[in-house]
Amino acid sequence: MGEIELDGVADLIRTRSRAGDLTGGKDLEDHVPGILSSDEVRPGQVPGYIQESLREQDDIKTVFDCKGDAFYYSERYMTGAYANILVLKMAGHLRMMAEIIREQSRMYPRPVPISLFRYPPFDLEENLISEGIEEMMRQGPYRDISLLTTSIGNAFAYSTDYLTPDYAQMLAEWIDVGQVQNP
Amino acid sequence: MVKFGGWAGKVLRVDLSTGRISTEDTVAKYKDFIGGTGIGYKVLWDEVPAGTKAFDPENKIVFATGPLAGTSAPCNGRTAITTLWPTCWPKHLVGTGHMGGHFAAEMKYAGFDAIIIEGRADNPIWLKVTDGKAQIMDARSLWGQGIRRTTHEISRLMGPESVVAAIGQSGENLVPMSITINSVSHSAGGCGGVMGSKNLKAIGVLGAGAIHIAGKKEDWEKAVKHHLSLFGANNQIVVPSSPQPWAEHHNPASRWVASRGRQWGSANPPIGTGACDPHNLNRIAYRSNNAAYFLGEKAWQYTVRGNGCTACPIRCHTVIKVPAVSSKYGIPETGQNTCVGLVFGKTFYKNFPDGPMGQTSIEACMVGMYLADDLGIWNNYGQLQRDFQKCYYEGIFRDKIGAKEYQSYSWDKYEKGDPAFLFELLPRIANRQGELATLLGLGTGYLLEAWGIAETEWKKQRDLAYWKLGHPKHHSNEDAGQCGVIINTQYNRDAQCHSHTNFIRNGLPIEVQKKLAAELWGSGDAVDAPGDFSPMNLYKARMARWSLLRKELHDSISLCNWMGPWSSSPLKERGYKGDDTIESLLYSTVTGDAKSPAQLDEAAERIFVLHRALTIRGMGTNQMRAEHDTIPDWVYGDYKERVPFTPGTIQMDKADIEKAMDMFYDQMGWSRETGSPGREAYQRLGLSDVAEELGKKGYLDGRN
Repeated sequence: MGEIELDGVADLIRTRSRAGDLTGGKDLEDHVPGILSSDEVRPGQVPGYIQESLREQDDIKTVFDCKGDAFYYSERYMTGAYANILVLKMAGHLRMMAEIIREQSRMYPRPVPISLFRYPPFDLEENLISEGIEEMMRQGPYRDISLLTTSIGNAFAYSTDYLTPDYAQMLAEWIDVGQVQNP
Repeated sequence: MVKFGGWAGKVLRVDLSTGRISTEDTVAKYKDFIGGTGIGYKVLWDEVPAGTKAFDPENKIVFATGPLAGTSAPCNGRTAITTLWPTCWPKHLVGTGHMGGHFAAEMKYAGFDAIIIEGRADNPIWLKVTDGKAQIMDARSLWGQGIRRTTHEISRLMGPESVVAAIGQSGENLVPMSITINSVSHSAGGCGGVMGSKNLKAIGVLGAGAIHIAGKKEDWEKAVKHHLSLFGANNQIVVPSSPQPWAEHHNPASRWVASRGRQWGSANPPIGTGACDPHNLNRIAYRSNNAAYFLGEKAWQYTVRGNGCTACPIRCHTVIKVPAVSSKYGIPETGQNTCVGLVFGKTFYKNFPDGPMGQTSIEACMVGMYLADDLGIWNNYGQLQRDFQKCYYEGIFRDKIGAKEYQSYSWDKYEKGDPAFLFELLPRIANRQGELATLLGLGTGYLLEAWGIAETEWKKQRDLAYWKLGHPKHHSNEDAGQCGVIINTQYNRDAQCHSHTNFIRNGLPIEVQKKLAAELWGSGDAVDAPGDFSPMNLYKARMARWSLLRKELHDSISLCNWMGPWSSSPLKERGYKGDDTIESLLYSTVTGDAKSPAQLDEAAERIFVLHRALTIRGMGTNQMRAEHDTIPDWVYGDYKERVPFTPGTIQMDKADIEKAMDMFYDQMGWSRETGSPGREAYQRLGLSDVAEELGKKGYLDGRN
């Protein structure tokens, strides 16, 4: 593998980051067939020599999915937070929604309008979202996820680990109604 | 005399009673007050005696801007209009309106930093201001016309580059709830009636001049670029409303609504906003879409583009095109405005047949803008609409006005959410037809007085948002707890201060906000998470003082306080820090009058304290704490009966607010007992003459 092709890998990552995409082994293979040819590497995995080379690029960062596979992005065009969302997406919609809801309940703090998950980068179908939330509220690992409705009928989800129902309701109302009414 | 940049150099004075036109040297007379509200307050202090009423010929109306107006400083397109406020109840105290657009810049290009209008013309006139000269023109053919026709006619006479600030029938008829508009949609609320009382229909400005910038070209360009680099979206929200690749944070309530796939649907061809990376300074205008923010998803298809003020990249006025309104209501398909101007028509209604964000509500906005921005009616930051709803639904209209008049309104249309109802209501307000419309046009305080309703009734109900003196709150405890309450006690109309709320609503996580707050005000304890307030502390008092002084500074040097201060930024590499020295950088570079942030804050304090002195003199008391800085009961209530300092309630605690006021007065160097400055405070700010006059009247606190 020549230096030129390795440079091309970094540029590919940057281009894809700019478009809002991570770059994993499969993406490299699609772009440069044969780049991943190695008996030591399973399909989709990025070989060690490429990983090592990418470590030399200051802006190229790594995230790992739940299988331990590496995905790359350029922090010139993408933040770690966004990259983490894309990785969570690979973990399945339940886990993705739950982690986002928990993070926002803790950090800002605020509940999450479930309509958020319809749009990029989540791109979930509406029925998948509502069924997912219901399932989360039943399941052990996600039972901290709770739902509320604002006065104009929009559904928000929050984690009871970080927000009380009352506080979550107030915050949702402030997001959905209050700030528009107090321009 | 040192020659400064920035200022045009002259203040125009027009006496409409005598026809005398004269000029003054801006810098020689007003430099310590900078411009804008500073000039306005100074003129009112020196020249308008206490006891004068808003519509008396002795009242003056000052259109003023600051040294940054007309330059390429971002967000400089602001004109402050200072006068005695006709909706201020029970006395007409000093107030200011603020309009954007292009009037400020063109006034400067015409050679003037301010225009002082005094007296009263015998007949309707308009003022023509061009290249250092002014002429009083006959406006009898314009009187009775709406703002649009007036603007068109004057522009036809002066040329398409002219900018016209005009009143409609509402101002002509001395309706206190009247506006002045320039550049189609940029209004200053509350002052239209004062213009009408002087028979002043409009001011047209046109100039071929330029603004001299004292600093080096490369320094100026660097300053402007640096300023732009800190910009967020409208109201300086620094995170997008949905996750974007470039963004670490997002906030669904953000006005930064751009993202891939979003389009201005009625542009031809439609224009995609893109993701709007904050480092791309050429795409700032694509970040915000206030039509979509206020009117919902549907508004994207109707959006043509953003519009706005001189040198402002935000373009917070959205131009929308709604074809259906042409055949349904006989009005133009296109309208534009922002914020409360945009939703003027919609907010009269409790219900729409297709919901609060449906097609009908958008049509109501179009009808509202069409009527209000032409007739020249003010909404008093939404208080007009809230009062209307309360009076209708609680039967006050039915009880108070005669049956014949009551039945002359199509209440069925109103209840169904039919925008056509506005054609019955708004012209009546503008033309003072009938008791209902006439009293609504007086403003809340005078409406309540006329109908024998105690003001305390309005002060009990949080949803009414009423604060005092006939005006509502404007970003109070719901936004910023004690800091918001303090700010709302200080003015004679709604506070119009966004310094605090632009920070609180910037969209960053609370821990990041606290880090930034520590640098700005000494501790992260200055700010709380929304609805999770902590007891009052010194840092919140500092934040309140900073917020008020920055507002006055912006209103005087000509920067938009609806955008500034730039206390945070969207830049992760800066830790989201803004630049609290921007005002100093821009002012010093433009004028050549090097002033540190502290020195500019001192000038702002002088201006703010002069407003205080005007209020004291106007009220005839220095017992400001007890009689002026009042707080409505609803601030201390909670509909779920939660106690203060519980997450989820914005209820304040009375003892804590008393402490807040104590701490604020301490920050200002005012008396805790009276809430008024003493002689020392005035002298420190170069206002000894003010102290002298107040002392003679017994309005000085403590040592006279």
